[in-house]
Amino acid sequence: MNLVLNFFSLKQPTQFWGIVYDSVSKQPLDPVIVKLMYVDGREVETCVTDMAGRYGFLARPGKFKIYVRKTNYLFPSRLVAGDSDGIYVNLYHGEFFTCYQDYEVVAPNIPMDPAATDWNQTAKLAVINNSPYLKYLLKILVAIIFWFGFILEAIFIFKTFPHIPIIFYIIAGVYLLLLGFSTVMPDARLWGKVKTNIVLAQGESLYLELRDRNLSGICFGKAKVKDDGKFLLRSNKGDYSLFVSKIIKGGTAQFLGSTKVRIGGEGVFNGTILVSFLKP
Amino acid sequence: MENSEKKVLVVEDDVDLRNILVDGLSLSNYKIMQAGDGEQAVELIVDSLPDLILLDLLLPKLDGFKVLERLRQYPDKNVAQIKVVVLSNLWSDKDILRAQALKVDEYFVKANTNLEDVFNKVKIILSNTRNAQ
Repeated sequence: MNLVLNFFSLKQPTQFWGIVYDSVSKQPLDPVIVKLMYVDGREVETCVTDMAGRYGFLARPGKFKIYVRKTNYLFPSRLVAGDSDGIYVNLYHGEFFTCYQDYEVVAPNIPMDPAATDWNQTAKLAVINNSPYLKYLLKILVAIIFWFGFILEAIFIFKTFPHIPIIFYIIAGVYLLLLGFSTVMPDARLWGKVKTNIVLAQGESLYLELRDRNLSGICFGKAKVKDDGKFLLRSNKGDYSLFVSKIIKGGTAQFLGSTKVRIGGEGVFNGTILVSFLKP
Repeated sequence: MENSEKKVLVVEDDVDLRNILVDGLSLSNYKIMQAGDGEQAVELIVDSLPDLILLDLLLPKLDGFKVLERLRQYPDKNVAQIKVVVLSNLWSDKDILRAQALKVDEYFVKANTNLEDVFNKVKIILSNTRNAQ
């Protein structure tokens, strides 16, 4: 239902990941080094964006700053100011921010200004198919058609009242249903969760790895499970095997089991893993 | 052979990422060489004969696959058998299988990899090479 509501622009799509992008072309950037840092400059976590410019952190309560670096690009952006540029919302410009909840998802979109031609970006366009402006125009067009239809429907009902044809009742019902859902439908979950009875000692943690079912040995995504079982696991669309391990003191991994998972177009695994049901 | 005698070639066109890789590998006292494109990489490989190449695949002038093909087809066995660790954001089965067919020793997807894992893998491969010698 969320997909239908997103399609008609009745609801903002759930943002699973922050995207670092070119403020002029709006194309996602990679590889960008993204660091989550404490106010005093200490590093919390570092990641590199994928080809879709995606990154994300799960942060504990505290005050933070995000630092990004990419050759031939400047941060913070001087070309894009404010919280939205029409295509991307929830923009970040280098300011400090506070997380209040335990393991809050930190993933604002980050514009960077081009300072010189970047070979990598030009070459990447030949590999991936991404048209942010076209998607934006299509979104506006669909929204116009939706609301134009709504107005037409209202006019027809008004004109034919009280002998309204059954088809107008049906159309009105669909509109009301969609508008109703847009207000009550909860957002999709941003993170996944591990449920287990295993008691972890101080310094121990659970660790997840996504591996391709056909290509053994290649890791397509990894995540450390937080104290409360939450994790942020990013990968591309596809079928994977998810391996769960316990990292004991000294960094040794103890394999607990694996399960098959599927990742959709949103590029995130946000399901629940029951460790007792894993295949050894 | 001591670490300081081991030569690692870092091939990455993004200067910021390359600097991070060079800094991280330098901590293990390897002799580090750098290339920002495929042609420069091939020249350095033939001239300096590194023990290991950390290779990006999307590269200017000559892409990483072409570098690998030239490397594996090189008449000198010492060059053709150099260890290669790929670090790329290309993630499709097709790309990975193509790299594996060219006998890479490890394939890391940049976005899904902690750079410490890359440095550790380099260390393991080079220490195995040392033991084999």
